[in-house]
Amino acid sequence: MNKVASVILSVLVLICLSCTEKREMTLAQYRNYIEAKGGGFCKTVTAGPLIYTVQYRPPLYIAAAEHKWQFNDSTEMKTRTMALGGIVWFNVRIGTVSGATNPLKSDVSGVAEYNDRLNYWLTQAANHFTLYYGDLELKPQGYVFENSYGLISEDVVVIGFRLPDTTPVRPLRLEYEDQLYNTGIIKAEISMDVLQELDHIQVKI
Amino acid sequence: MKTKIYAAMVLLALMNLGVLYYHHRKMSQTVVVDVIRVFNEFNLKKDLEKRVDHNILGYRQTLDSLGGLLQYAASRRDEHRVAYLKEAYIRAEEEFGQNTDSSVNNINEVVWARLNPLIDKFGRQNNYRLIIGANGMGSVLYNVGAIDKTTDLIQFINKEYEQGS
Repeated sequence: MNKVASVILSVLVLICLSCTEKREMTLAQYRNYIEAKGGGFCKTVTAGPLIYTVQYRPPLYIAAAEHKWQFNDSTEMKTRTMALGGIVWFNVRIGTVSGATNPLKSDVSGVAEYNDRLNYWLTQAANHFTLYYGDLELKPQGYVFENSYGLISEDVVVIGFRLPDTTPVRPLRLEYEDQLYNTGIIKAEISMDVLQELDHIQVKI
Repeated sequence: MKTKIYAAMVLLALMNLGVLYYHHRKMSQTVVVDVIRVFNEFNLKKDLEKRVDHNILGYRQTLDSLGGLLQYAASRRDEHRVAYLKEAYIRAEEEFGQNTDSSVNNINEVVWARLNPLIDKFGRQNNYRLIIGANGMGSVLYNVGAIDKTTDLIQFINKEYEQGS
């Protein structure tokens, strides 16, 4: 009887250890992991002629991008990563399905319409983004529109929301109602399972 | 020994045939979905309708307020004000009707634009050869329950809509 109990206990300990074990990654692997399509941090929605790609950007990802994916030491990495806590950031890439041009220029009738579209992205679009965090409905704390000027077939919105927690402890659901292209409501959810995986990653420098 | 080898080869060949047959059956499967149900149970449609209902409520409140003011002005026999309020009431009513019509048309357009690529993805993921849209109008007169994939499709489109892919 004692033998059976000790075997069960050993198996349980092994399971617990395997659950808490950290996965080691280089910065390049971490970047690929976060950017992987279908990995849970990058969501895509096709709506009519447009494709919206929502990329969740954890603090370490932003810090590493700022340092061109190369830190001098772990202190530099930890300091910057900690400073970025409390706000969740997303990159929303808006591209055309055809890939011929960027949405700002796609089927535009003239300069006036182009300016109206640009004005929408610069001054109004931020009001149409909402982050649902548990019962909370959060409005953006930071918003930047990056015009690609037609050099690539996408324009990018960088948007941040202040959370009541340093790191997310509930799923994040970003909603956007595109009132320029009238494509309905765009939703992207970063699940808790996916967010918790970040706690088990150890990045090597 | 030879017999055993032959037996194993025959068994392997049969297994291969089985796998090929399974894939062929799956690939060539034609399924049916009730498009009206899919359309009505798509969460995007429900969300957009909630927003339209909210706007309609705002218009109704405006019309009620104007109606109240009109009655009050009529009871005081203030003809100038009655004429002004009547005109405002008619304008608001027209605007309400136009906006409601365009909102409903807009919902249909947006929902179909979103549904089409999702149905396409559903078909590809399941290796269906053809998805037939039944709508109770006679395009499909009979189908075996097993090939009715309406519920599966509704679950798929709502998951894709709520979470992204």
